[in-house]
Amino acid sequence: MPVVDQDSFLKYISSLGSKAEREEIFQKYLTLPYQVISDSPTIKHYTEWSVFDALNLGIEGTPIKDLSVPLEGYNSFVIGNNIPLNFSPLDSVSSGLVKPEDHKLVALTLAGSRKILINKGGKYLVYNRCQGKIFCPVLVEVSVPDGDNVDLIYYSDGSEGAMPSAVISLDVPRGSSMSFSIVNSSRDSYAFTYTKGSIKGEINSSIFSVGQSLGHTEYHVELADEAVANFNAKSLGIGNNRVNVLANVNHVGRKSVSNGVLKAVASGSSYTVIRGDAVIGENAIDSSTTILGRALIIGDDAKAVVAPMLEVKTGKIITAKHSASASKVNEDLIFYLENRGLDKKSAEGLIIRGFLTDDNDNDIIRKLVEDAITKMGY
Amino acid sequence: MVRKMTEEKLSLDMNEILNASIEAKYEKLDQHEFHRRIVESGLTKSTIEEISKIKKEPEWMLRLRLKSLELFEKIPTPNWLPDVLGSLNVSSLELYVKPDVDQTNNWDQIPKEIRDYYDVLGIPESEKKYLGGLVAVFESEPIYSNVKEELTKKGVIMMPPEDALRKYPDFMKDYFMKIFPASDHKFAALHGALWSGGVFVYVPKGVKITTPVEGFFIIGREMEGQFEHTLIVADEGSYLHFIEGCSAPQLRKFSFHDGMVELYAKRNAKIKFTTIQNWSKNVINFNNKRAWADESANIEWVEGSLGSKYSFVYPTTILRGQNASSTSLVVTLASGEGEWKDSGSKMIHAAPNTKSKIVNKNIGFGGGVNIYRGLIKVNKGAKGAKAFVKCDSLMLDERTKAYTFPHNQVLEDDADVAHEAHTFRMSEDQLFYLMNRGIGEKEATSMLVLGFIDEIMKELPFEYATMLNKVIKLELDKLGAVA
Repeated sequence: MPVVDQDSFLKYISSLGSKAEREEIFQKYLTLPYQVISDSPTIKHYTEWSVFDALNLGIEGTPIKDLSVPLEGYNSFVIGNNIPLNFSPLDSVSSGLVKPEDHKLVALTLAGSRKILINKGGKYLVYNRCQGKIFCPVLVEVSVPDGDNVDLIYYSDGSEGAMPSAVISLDVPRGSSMSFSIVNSSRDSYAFTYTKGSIKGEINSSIFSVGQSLGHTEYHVELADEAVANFNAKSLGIGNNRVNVLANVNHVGRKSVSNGVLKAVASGSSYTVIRGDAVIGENAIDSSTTILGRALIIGDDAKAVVAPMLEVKTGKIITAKHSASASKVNEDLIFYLENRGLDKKSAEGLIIRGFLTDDNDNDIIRKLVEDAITKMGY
Repeated sequence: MVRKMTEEKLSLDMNEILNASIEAKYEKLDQHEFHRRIVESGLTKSTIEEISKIKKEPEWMLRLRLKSLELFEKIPTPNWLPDVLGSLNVSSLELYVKPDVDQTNNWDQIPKEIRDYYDVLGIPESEKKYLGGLVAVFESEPIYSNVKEELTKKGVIMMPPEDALRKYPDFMKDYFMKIFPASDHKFAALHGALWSGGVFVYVPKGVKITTPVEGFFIIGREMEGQFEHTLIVADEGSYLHFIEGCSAPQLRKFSFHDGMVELYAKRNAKIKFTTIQNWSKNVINFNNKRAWADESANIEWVEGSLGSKYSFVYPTTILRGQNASSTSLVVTLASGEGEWKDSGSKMIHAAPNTKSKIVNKNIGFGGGVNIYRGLIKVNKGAKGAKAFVKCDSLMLDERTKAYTFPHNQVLEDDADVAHEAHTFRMSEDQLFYLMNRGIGEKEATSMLVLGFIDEIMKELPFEYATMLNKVIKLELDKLGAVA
């Protein structure tokens, strides 16, 4: 069985424009493998692709009642079960930097998605709400104007077995900057998010995934001369969630800089994966990259995988380093707090809260972190 | 096609075997086609039967070989195998070439040409003065086997595995390729099918051998590949330090080496396994190394991977008993264009309170490629497990490449795993500092490089540290002006 019910998907795309192109991309989806290279020496795939393949989702859902804008102060694009609420999307399958061949699920998403194009500076929010057993594809293409700044939040919110899916293309020219967040929130549902960026200026990204029965998030950026990328990725597994976040930076230009922090919390019997690959290309001399990975394991049956990779192809670098660790909540810290009158549970809660919160988190992330910590029983 | 040169000589086209394996990557070649290619190379069921017959092996060993051959054809080629291996001119494998000398335990009886190889490497002196016993492997078949009386008295058994198969068949059946099963990967299976020569050591309960024991492997002549097998079983409370040296004279064609090391440390036993690999620059070196550590046992891997052109070595310890511990210290040197050093240690924590530590130091220059591919796995139930990984790469010029692919998989909440990796170039400040104090640039560079691997140098016996020192200095001479 495929991810989507083929007949209803084909019927749906024939109601959209660019029918022939969409059908061609859908064919690519059918033939592409999920992945050709094993992820690790002992585990073939960190994301259990067969789970997606057993979903057999529909695509046309009923409109969602009381759908509203989750965060004020942004130019917002709200979509509920593939029905745009407050804007009209473009009927185009051209996807900027992302190609259907990049990933099987990218091809599927492109075949069925309509496009949101952002080419002016400002603050934007894309809210992809998906409810029930349906597949909700979205395509977002951002090209930041020269010397301008774009702030974008992609918020995917799935519930009741739904699968919001997004393909995001980012183009940040020299002298421009972008602040970009992916927020994947899920209640008993699935998600796929694929982002690709070409950065000549500066980008600050944050990726947050929580509550996915099975979630796969990929973030790839390519850095040109003197480009800067800072990113932090957090993945939270609750109950029997399976969350996989991958953040890759590819240094192509000279003097490019990347700094990343990857954090994972595995609670209950969840399986949480954070991976990052920093590549410094042959011409990316005098570049530097630093990636820190940290997993906190708080469930008896919880599993965590941390895999930060480095591929340095030139000897002329400033620095290339990474670190990774996986452990339970530090006993010493708990002891310290207990000494100051907190009980063990609250002490743990405080440490986890501190681990997961960042100063520059937006309100959506703050609320989700709070909800998640409550759900973990703290 | 199998060419029988003499009664005891079979020739395999290794080039074809490697090419077919590369082409089969990503399952591009179907199994049927792969089988046809392998048969064409000369590697068939009847070849294996022939080898086993010549060696007068027991029935179960023949079955193990045949099963391994079957697995070799079935198991997919690892994706990380570099494609360039398919384009090399690899010499054929002359299987089971018996040197024209009988096995001896007196150095003087060994023919002069062969002795010269060993002399250049300084083997007999070090053996007499310092090493407890030695089994030298030359052209697959041990020709020199001498376990000092003292060891014999203590009940230590040390002999080629072929002899052990005859003398202790049941014991061998219990351990041989049980620690590293042929089903593990394609080249382990190939080893299982073709293994020949090597060392078997058994250290009885409570016996501690204070002098290191050495097995020195040498790839003798041009038409030679080696599939030697080392099996060490240290019984409860025993101790052994084994040194594996590898070397080969410079030959015209590439040769393929696919050896295997299995170590088993029982309760409270300790095995230290040191390898100084200095094959000549046209050797493709696969070495399958794995250890089991029972309760409170300790395994220590020390590895200097200096020679060979393409090298794939991943020392692995499976910590099976509680309180077992293991360390792995590896230095790799990739010093020439296209030189490919794929290394990395793996630690599998399968019992409570197990500890592991990995230190990997890579030095690269002249366009060499260093790769660290490691794994820390903490299984469910391995409560209180602790693991630490450090991998550093030092790059001395722009053309050099360094890759780090670590995997940390933690399936137990009560575990502590930490990993750090750092890639850096030679510090110009430090170089400047040393040169300001009147030290020449070359000398300063080698001081800094040797300082970089100091942590591992300390673990080597004096003679080997000196040898490593010498080899690295010689290699650095090629570098010329740095910075």
